[in-house]
Amino acid sequence: MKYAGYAGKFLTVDLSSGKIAELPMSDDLAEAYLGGRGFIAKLLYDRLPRGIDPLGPQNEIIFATGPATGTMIPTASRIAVGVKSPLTGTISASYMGGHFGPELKYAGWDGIIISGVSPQPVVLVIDDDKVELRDAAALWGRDTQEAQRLMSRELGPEFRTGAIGPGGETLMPFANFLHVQHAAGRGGPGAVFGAKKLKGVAVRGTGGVRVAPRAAEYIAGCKELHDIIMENPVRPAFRWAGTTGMLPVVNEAVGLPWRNHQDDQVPDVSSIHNEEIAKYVRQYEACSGCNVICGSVVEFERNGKEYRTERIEHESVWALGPDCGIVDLTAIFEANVECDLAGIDTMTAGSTIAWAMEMTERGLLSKADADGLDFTWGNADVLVPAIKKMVSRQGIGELLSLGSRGAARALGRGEEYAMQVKGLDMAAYAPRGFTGMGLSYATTGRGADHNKAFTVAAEFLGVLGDYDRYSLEGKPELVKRMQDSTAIIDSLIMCMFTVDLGITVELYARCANLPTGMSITADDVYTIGERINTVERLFNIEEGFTRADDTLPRRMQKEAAPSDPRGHTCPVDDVMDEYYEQRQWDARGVPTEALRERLGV
Amino acid sequence: MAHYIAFDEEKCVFCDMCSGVCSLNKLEKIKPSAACIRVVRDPLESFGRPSCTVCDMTHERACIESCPVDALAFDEQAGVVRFIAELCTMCESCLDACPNVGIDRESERIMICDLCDGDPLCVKWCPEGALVWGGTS
Repeated sequence: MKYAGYAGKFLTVDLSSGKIAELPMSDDLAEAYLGGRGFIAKLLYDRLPRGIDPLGPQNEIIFATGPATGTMIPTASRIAVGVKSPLTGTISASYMGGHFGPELKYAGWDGIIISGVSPQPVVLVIDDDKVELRDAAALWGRDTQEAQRLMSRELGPEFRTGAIGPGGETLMPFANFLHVQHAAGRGGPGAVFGAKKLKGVAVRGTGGVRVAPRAAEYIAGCKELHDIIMENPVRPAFRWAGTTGMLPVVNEAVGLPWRNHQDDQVPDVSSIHNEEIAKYVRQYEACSGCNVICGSVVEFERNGKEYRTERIEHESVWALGPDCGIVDLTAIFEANVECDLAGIDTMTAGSTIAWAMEMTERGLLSKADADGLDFTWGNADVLVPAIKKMVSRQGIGELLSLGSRGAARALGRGEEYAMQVKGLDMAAYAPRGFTGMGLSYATTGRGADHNKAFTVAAEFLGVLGDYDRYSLEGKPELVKRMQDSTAIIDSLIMCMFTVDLGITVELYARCANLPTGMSITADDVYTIGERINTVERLFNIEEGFTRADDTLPRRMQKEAAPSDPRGHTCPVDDVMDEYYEQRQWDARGVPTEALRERLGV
Repeated sequence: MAHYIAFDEEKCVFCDMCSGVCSLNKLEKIKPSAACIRVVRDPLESFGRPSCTVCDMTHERACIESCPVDALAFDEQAGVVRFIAELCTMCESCLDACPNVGIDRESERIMICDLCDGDPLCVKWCPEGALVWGGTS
């Protein structure tokens, strides 16, 4: 490759035959798709046959870093994990921070393409260019943290580890993959690991990575970027509270969903306020190359048991808390730990329990249906037993293990109370309070993902303009533009927080150019992002998704939140034509020939 | 007088900035495993504290003592250990003599902190103030 910053090759592992090989990267691929999410979009679109079973041997797991990964570009620690999602049937990429991505790059790999099914449980061990599959019989059945400790014990402290838990082994469609406690969280990649009998991946990289300029020039350029973040007035809030700082602010603004989105405000948020959460913090933790430092370790006690674990994130507090009418903080912490140990998505877990609670309230789910579990709003004691049942997939757990939409379909009722899009449950930003988020949920490729166009930045935080939170006017253009720029953040791969910390689209271009020696402009950022979104759309269209899937639950479009005195709704269907026009998709939502030609896809 | 970088383990957050910038400066490559300063933790502990390997002048210049060919020498002026590549035979005796000595096998260099000629990059890049230059012994 002519570009620095990349390792220049992908590792390919066929679990069926045990064949390990390498796939050279091309300059063309780097120029057109940049890295991370872009690589995953292109590779899965080209490689997967249409209509395959996500849990069958033909699905693939693609780990992908980006050109900035491990190059000291601020926050570029992240790695993307892509699959055809067993939860949604769409293309899906999930991201995790920590130290795994840079280590893989330093081992000499831009990513890993994993195909086939292993005959027995294995762990993939990457020690620079020495790659092997090791028997993992002793690890099977272990939780994500115990499995990683066993891997570390066998391999030594220098290896970075990641593993699935029992959730992935039982093929739960929203199981995930954890590196320490950093989760490639949503869309169910863990189930694909489980189906392939791949328990974990460990990597040690001693080779490092080259960057384009001479060291002195690069260090000076990188320092400028770090200083922008360090000097941003918002940075201390992230440093102190992580994502949890948003919770009271969003609630005050009537934007934090309560009880399965029945309302958009929690009556009393004081017990789960970030200042309460901060009391449990014992130390701070950063991802590799990050000076935001949003991570921390907490210690707490619940029912006589002591825990030491990563501080919970905003989305997890909400999903396992207010979304279920729960504001008991240590119960929420405990449920969060239970999800992390099992290796399942906290957000979908919480939202699915919230659905069961609304079904119970409406008399659509009896106590007998629920195996005796009490799904009354606010019953904090049901969280851990419900999660355990989901993971074991027994009784009511089998139903709930499918996510809210899957559960409703299996039960044959209650899909209108499943707060999801395309099968992926919605996040902690109320669409009726932030209509851009509603449109983003409705149109994002893998469903109701809050991180593919975080319009709250423009609608509420005042970072990217000054939009009316409630009106959908101008939102199709905003959502489209942010979806495209976000695709670049996900491809470099940097952290979403940088949007709020002074990193502009011009600077994302610089973050691509500085390590690689490319000359990408801000316009190119949007074009590459548009290309990635278009390929993801084509993947989904060819999987049978249609305009009918680009919508929000009826509640969002027709019913106002009781706490909103002005009674706003989020009728996204009304602006879908305009959104499609912005995207150059036809009235059915299919990318036009002209668009494909312009983007070369 | 010897100078060294003091590490405050209570302040370290494992961002790897120190080893990244050190390796780039010394080796023209971001390669934390070969940096003069490396931060590690025991993954078997639950979010345990770090240990930092950087020359802290506490090993009685054992690296210099162990070198059979004078490829390591104490620079009285700067108060640091210097590596003279032309003399090194890559016998790795110094690695056995002191846990804070590093190596880059690719470029055949022994990696010992030289305080970046008086302006240590790792200190400048540490976002938490966990590294301080000024220690003397």
